Amino acid sequence: MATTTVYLPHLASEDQKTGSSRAVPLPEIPPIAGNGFAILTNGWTGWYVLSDHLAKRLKDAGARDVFVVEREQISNGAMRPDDDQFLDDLAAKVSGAIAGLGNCGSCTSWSCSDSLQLERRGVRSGHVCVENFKYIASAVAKAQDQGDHPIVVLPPKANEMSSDELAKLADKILAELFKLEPTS
Amino acid sequence: MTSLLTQDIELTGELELQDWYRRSGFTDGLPVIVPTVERVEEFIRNSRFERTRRVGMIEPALGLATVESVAVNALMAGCRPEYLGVVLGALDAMTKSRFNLRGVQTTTNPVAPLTIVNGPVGQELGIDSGGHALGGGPYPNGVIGRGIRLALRNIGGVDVEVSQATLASTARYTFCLAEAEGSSPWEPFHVSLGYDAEQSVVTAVGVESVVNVVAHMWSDPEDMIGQFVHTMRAIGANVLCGQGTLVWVLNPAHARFLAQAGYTRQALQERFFEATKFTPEAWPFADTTGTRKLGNIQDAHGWSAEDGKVRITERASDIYVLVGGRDHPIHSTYMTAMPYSESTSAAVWQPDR
Repeated sequence: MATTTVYLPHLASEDQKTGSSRAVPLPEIPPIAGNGFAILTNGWTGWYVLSDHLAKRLKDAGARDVFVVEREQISNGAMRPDDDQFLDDLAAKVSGAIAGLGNCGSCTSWSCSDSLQLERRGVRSGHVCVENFKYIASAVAKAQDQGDHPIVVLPPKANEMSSDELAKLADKILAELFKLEPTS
Repeated sequence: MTSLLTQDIELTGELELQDWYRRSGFTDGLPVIVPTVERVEEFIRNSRFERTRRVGMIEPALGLATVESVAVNALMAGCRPEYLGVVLGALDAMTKSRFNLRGVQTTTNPVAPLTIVNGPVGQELGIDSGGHALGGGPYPNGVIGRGIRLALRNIGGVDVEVSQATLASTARYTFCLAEAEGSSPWEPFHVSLGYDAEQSVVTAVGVESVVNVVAHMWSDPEDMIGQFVHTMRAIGANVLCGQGTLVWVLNPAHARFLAQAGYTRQALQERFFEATKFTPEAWPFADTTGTRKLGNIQDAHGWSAEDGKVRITERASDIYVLVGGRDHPIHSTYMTAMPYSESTSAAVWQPDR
């Protein structure tokens, strides 16, 4: 059979990321006690409740500071380009960070990007999204050559869960990201 | 030398090759012109662009758009080589950070990037500004818009899982129009953005939906404006959650009527802006996105109105007023915006030789 040679509609090699290489070393998981942590929020109601649980658990475990940061404070908008200065300042104060919630398409790509940006600044950071959007989070991480960036996947309706259910998810997040054992 | 990827395919028929591109995820589902090496090389040569010129990084994959990678997509869409400057200009605009291409490409919103063409290039290429500007005519609008769209998809790594639009939009196949500058009572739209009239410019807008507005029972310009304002305040328009750029494409008759009543483009923008403000109490829901109260969202952005009313855009200048379509005094078109995507413009690219 004859062969036809065609072009593919994108460039080769370094211009299309595969996530197989790593742009920066993955920071070590910091001990909770004595360190600062940040929780980045972006407006989802359930994530506010979950953030409260996360902050309490981190403080109970001896965290020095826990900063719960509104995404709007970072960049004047939930889905806007990163504010480098703000992330620099935050990274100077914390050793660990949790960015969420990926509960829609663009909020996933932007909150995951925040997490990736903090990791690039030496912060052990993880992104949290619901099941429906884990593919986007993974794609964004791969595109930035941080394909093994920690991503915690929650059930699809996590944003609508009760406070008790969200408390259990807080345990799951902290166990996956910082190896903090659940309280019960 | 080129950094384009080639592939040898053991298929010879055009239909089989087209289907290979579809199955490989490189199309919008419609047939494409198969970008054989010979066709692409001829296309780039005839476009007279230097093939390695860089446009920008296409989110979310951060794929590099160059003349040659964009050319492959433009050819696949059916573009002629002389259309490439418009496609490159549009991608140049869309890769500016304010456009928020990362959000546009991944959102659950049905947003489609609209390309507005102004300046001499519209007439030179025959881009329609009239009755088929948004579809259905034998004009370049369709293939230019499709070329932009395929480049966004293929270079930006937007497969069916990365694109999370809830129901998407037919505007995602193609979405490109020229302004009817010759029929407008006002200066060309791009002049209002600070460009010279003789410059050819593309403006990108993240459009959420296209709304036809029938306004033919009018004798007073304020009645007509009232009808337009009623449309702009429609409950549920996503722009109420954040910044965006709204677009009116007034038919030439409507535009003339308002101009004869003394409205400049800027005066009309300001009239729309003021008339569409409303008190948060008028909002029938506690929340907009299931998250926070409407006023609080705008407070967070720092642009709530001082009089306690909320706005549908941050500034009057975010309400674009263009002229287009047939010269019938009945239908005009309004386009709602994706929040957090601001309009951007760029010059149409000029060939290197």
